[in-house]
Amino acid sequence: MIDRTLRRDVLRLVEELVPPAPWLDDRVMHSIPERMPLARSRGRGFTSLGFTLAGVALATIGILLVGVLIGSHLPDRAIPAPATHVAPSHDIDVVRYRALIDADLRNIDSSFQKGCDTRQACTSQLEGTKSATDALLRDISTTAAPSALAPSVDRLRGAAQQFEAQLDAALYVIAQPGTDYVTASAAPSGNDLTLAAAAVDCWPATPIEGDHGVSCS
Amino acid sequence: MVGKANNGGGLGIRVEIDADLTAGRQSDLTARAKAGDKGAFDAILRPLFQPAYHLAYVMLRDREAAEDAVQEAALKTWRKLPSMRPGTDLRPWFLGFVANECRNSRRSRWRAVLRLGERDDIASPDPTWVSDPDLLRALVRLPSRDRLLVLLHFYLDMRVEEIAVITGSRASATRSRLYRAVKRMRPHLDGGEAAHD
Repeated sequence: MIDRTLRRDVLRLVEELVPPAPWLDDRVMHSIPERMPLARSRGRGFTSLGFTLAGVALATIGILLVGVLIGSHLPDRAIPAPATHVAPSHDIDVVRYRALIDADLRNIDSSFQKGCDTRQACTSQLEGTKSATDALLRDISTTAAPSALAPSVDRLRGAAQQFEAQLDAALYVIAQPGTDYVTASAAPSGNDLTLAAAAVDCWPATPIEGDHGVSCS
Repeated sequence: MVGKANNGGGLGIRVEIDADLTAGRQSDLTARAKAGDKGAFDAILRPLFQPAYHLAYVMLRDREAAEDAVQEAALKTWRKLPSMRPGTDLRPWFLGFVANECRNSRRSRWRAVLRLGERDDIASPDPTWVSDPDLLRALVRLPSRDRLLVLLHFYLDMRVEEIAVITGSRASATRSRLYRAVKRMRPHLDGGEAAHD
C-alpha cells in the first residue's frame, strides 16, 4: 500500500517539479549524425583452446554453484523490490537495536553493491562483504536484543550465516584457477538477509509481500 | 510510446514500449538501428527522452544540464550501437548512459551546487510550487545514488533487475539498497500512509 502511495506521490512530484522541455526530443534527434560510425571489427579473442577452457570453467562453476544454491535456499525470483518502512517504536532499546543492525547492514550493502572485473577485485570485494557480515553476526551475538525482537533476530542471524556460507562458497570458486570469477561473485544473494532485516524493522507487525515490495502488515 | 499508468497499481511510468510496438517489432527496430537506420533509432528511443530528461533534472537540478545529459546519452547510445551485444535491451542501455552522464555532470559542475536560478532550488526548505514538499525534501536529502534508484523504480517503474543493469550492480544489492533508501524517506512515508490509508 505504502509502495503504491509512494509511486503515485513521486510521479506527481516529478511532474510538478520538472520544467517542460517540449523541444528536447527534436533537439536530441538533430544532434544524432545521419551516419553511424563504422562498427569496429571486433577480434575473435577466443581460439578453440580458449573455448575449451571457457567450457571447462563454466562446467566447474556450474557444479560448484549447484551446491551453493541448494544449500542457500535462494528466495523465489518473484520476490518483489522491497519498499517497507520501520514500524515506529517508543521502546528505546528497540530503537537502538534497530540502529545497530541497520548500520551493519549498510556496511554489507556498500561492500556488496558493486560488481568486479578481476579475480583479485572479486576476492577483495567478497572478503570485504564477509567481514561486514561477520561484524553483523558479532553484534547480534554480543548485544542483547530486546526480548520482543528475539524471534526476528534469530531469523536475521540464520540469514546472515547463510549469506556468509554463500560468500565462502563463492570465494572458494574464485580461488580456483580458470574459473569464471565474475559469475561466481554474483552468486551470493542478499535477499533473505534483507527480508530478515525487514522483520526486525516491522516488529510488532510482520513483513508482507505486496505488488511491488515488502511492507509491514 | 511510453506506457503510462498501466502497471500493477496503475501508477508511475512504465519504461516500455507499449502494445502498439510488439516485442517482434521492437527487436526489428533495434536490429535496424544497429545497422545505422536513424529512423528506427528515433522510433525506439524518442519515447524515452522526456522520462530521461525528468530523471536527469531531479538528479542534477538544472534544466540545461539535464537536457545536455539526455542529448549526450543519446549520442553515446548511437555511437556505441554497433558494439551492443545481441539481446541487450536498448532502453535500459540508454538510461544507463543517462545515469552516467548525470554522475559525470555532478562531478564536474560546481554550478549544480552554487547556481540557484529559475526553479532549480528544489532543495530549498520550503518549495512552494510542489504539493508535497516533505517528499521533495526526503528525495533530495538522499545520496544521489540512492535517489537514482528511487526514481528509476518509483518514477520510471523499472524492475530491480533492470535497475541493476543500469547501475552496474547486482540485483540483490540493488534491492537491498532500494529498501534502505525508502526507509530513509520514512518521515514522509509514515505521514503519507496515515494520510492515504
